[in-house]
Amino acid sequence: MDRYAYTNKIADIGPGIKVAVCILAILIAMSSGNWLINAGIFIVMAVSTLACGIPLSFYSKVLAIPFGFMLMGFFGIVLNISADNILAWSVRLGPHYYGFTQESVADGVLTISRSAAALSGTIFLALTTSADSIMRVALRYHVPKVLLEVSVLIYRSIFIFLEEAIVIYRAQELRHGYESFRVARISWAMLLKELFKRVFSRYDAMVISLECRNYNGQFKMGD
Amino acid sequence: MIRIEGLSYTYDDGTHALKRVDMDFNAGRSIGIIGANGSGKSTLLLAVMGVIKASSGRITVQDELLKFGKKRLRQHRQHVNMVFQDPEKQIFFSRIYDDVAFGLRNLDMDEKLIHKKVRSSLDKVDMTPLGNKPVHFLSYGQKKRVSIAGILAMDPEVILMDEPSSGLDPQMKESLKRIIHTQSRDRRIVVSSHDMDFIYEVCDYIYVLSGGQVIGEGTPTKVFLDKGLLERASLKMPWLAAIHAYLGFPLERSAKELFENDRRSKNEEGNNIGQFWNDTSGYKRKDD
Repeated sequence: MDRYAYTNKIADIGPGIKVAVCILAILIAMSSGNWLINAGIFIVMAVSTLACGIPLSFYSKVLAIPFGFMLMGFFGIVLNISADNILAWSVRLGPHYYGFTQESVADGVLTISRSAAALSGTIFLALTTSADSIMRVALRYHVPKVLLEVSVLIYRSIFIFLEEAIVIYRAQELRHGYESFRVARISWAMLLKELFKRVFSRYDAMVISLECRNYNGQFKMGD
Repeated sequence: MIRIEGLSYTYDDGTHALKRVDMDFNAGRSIGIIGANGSGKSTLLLAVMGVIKASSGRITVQDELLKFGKKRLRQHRQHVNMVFQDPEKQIFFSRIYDDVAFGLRNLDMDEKLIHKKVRSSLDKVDMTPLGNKPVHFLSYGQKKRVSIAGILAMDPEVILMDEPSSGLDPQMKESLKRIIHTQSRDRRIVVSSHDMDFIYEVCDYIYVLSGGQVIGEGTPTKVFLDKGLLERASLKMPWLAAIHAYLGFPLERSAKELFENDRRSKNEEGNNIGQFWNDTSGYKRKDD
């Protein structure tokens, strides 16, 4: 998933600049009331991301998930229900009119363009900059250390967790654990149970290992 | 420097993991603790680290009793530290540099000094070019190297290694042998393992554990030619010892020596199989 963050064309370029670009994109998007500007930001960020060597197929997959939610939000904003026929365009279902007004469409377009612009900036950062270098930038700008320590640990643990889950899943799949809905249900339950158990045994191992390495309450990352 | 006297340990469920174990880590530069699965090797190492408290017996470090106060343990772990069997369980950071620096930063060392130590310990395990890759992109062998570097960086006088060769490919095993050989000049290395060939080549004094008890000890030559002792411990002879004992080959310390001496004695020119031994990728059987 984060392989591109380490291998793209600007992976080695100062993370500070990339973080600044991302924040700038978000700030402009939040403050502008013009959907054209937002669309412009989206296009610029998307083109820059693709120009860094991120394949279009991967990029569109990454975009697809949040876009799904954004579309749902869009319809939520645009859709109006009224007892009288006052909407710009509507259909009548039972006693109510369902449709939208010009203002609601304008609101919806602005909101979706704003989120798309902010999202494109965030994804640009996420796909071109490794989590570790983002942490470095955060450390430099005095983001509270506790937050960073937690982020560093979560980041590392995600991969351990995923790897464990994949190993268990494969082992089950190879012994026909997902052949039918009935066995798949049992396999999923066992997978979750096993993961839960492993989290605890990992925790025990981690405590021992931390103790041996003189852990004293802080995951230090240097200054 | 580390001496274990009459150490016993019983788990909560009543299993006797260690029974009156006596060991002296002064007996060699690199000590091997061999035994089958469940013979008590890992428990013993955890006891030496001060992670678990023995039910009876004592561990002394430079004639001082191992104490379990927070401060004393902190000191103890600057002198003695341990490479865990599974590197995944030892690595907390996704940035290699941060993980190797972890132990040093816990001691509040100056960042400049830390930088030097991290570089040199990554060098010692041949990891420098990979210094900026995140840990989840590394192979198992590379993770192993990172976990070893993390301990080397702290520069302890004694390093314990729990099953260090398990899961490693032949080439990585050879390079681990080299790391242990080099490091045992500056410090003491204690290796627990049931990889007989590995222990035979890297250790110069051996303890045999079985059912939590020391059932034999001595130089590799003595221990590894004692077929009865090895069988009682559910172990077997290293192949170098076996071809000496049963096929009459001279007893050599490593495959490289065996092949090179053989070639020299026959005055053969040409293909030198021994030179490939440290780089097993080029190794071919004689009759290939």
